[in-house]
Amino acid sequence: MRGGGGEYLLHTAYILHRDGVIYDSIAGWNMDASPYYPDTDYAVDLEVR
Amino acid sequence: MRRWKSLLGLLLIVGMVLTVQTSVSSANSVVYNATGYWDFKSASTCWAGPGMTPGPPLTGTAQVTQSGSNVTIVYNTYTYTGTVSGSDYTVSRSYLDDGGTTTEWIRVTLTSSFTAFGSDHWQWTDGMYYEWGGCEGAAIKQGYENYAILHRDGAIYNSDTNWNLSPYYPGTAWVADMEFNDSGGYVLLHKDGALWRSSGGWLLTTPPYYPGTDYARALELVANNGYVILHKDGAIYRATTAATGWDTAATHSYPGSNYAVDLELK
Repeated sequence: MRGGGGEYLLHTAYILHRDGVIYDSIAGWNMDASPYYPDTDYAVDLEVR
Repeated sequence: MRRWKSLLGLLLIVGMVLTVQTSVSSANSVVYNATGYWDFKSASTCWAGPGMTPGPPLTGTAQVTQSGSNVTIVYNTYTYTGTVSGSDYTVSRSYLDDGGTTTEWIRVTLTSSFTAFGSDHWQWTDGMYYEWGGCEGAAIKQGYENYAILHRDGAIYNSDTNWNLSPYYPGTAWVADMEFNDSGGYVLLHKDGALWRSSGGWLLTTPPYYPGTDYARALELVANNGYVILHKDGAIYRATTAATGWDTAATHSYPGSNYAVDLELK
């Protein structure tokens, strides 16, 4: 999955924001769990492993 | 034949129960709180007694509620109750079924606060006949999966180990895609089709590397270190044991269209 995509492992859905923050279907938006750099447009891909 | 009766069958069941008791008696001393939702997936192979057809593997979500040494697991409309011993969880439920009683018991060992493996056994008997079956499987607590974020310059943020700066080329925005393999290694796809492999470094052979083209959009890994690359116009480059080279069939490749965004194998 690339740019602006997400991953779906079993029943938890993850959405990657282009600035690095992650939304997951359990906890919602988590501004602290991942590197969030506003307006950088740095994030390309998300993989759940 | 659905029902099967023999002394051997009874001995097998007794053997399984003894196995359960042995497992419980060697419980891990680590204590967790498993309360929450767990995604589980049973192994591809289940088993059943003679004359029975094993059920299909299951994937689903179970709600676990732990209170001290007591635990309840709810899956669909089924409720299993039981106890906790260290990191070992044993729950069961019984219900009337086809003139007899079916008992299911689930034994799970937590290997961390968010990972577990175990098995589900079922046994049916009407006092004369016996049937049994089960599956092994694994589970992960929702919200606890590890993940990786790919920076456009090649750095990778891992939720468990923080930033990995290999290979990181600041200001280049060279990366098109990232994929992990089953052993935890990873491969990055350059926009020009080159590959960077965590075990092996750069792969700069042509094809699929065409410098200055910015054609590559997505990468998928397959068995035996094979891979597949998606061209921005929909063509597919395969480097697999079955095929090597470009697939430019007109059914999906539209030269100059720049329509293709992502590729998934299923």
